[in-house]
Amino acid sequence: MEYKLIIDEAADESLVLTVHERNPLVESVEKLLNTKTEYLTAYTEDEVLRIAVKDVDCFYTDSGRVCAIIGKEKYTVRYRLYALEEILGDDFVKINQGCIVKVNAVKRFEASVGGAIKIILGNGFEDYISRRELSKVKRRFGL
Amino acid sequence: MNKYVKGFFLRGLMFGGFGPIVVAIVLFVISFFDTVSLSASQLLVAVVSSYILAFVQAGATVFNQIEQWPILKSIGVHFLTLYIAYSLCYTVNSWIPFEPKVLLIFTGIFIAVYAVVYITVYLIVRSTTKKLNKAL
Repeated sequence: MEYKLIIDEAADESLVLTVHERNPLVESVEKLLNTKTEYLTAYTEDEVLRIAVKDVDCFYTDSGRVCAIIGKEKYTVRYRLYALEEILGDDFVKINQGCIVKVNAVKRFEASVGGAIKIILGNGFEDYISRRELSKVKRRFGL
Repeated sequence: MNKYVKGFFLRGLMFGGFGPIVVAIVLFVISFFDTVSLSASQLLVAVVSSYILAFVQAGATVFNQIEQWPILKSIGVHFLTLYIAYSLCYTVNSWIPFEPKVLLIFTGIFIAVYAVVYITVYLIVRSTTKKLNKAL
């Protein structure tokens, strides 16, 4: 990869990365610059499209793939969940090893008979909060 | 190594040592009311078995974190693991005689205590859920 550093006091400061695809370097730079990813490339069986992160209700892993749910629609995204966790920001919270939900999409919580807490989103999606992530979820909701 | 197996052993190693300490405290308290006399072999069995019991009890908490398991399976495996560990530890140490009637009473008490702990945990979870719903 070619690398250029131009020090020019007269020019506007900017950083441009040209890469073949999103990679850990892009994520590191975004994290460093504290920018939020606003759009993601998503896939259905027939098409490739850009989805706005703000529209996504949750991301979860399904048979090894990471899926984004928008309302009742399901898309595949080519990100690892841990990478998404880093780039999504405070609007989202990880609830277990395989699921990240948008805080504003949460409709209610339910105590299950098994002693776990179920999270229910406005679109009907349900999943359990793992004990490992419970303290983070509580903090995110101000408890 | 599977991370849950690793978790089981790590937790076991971390808390296993509390078993013999608890036994020592119990014997100390009993000594105020009765004479406590243990042979060297009885002491060895008590220390080793209580260590294993505490090891298993601490390690078994990992079952609740296996997200791929349905909740009933987690509870079932957790219950059975603890029941087997406690039964063996109590009978090996002759803290309860190996008789069907006594084992039945022991099982009843074990289920009752497990249920109380379980219900307590459920009530705590329900309280947390209410707080989370209020925070929405």
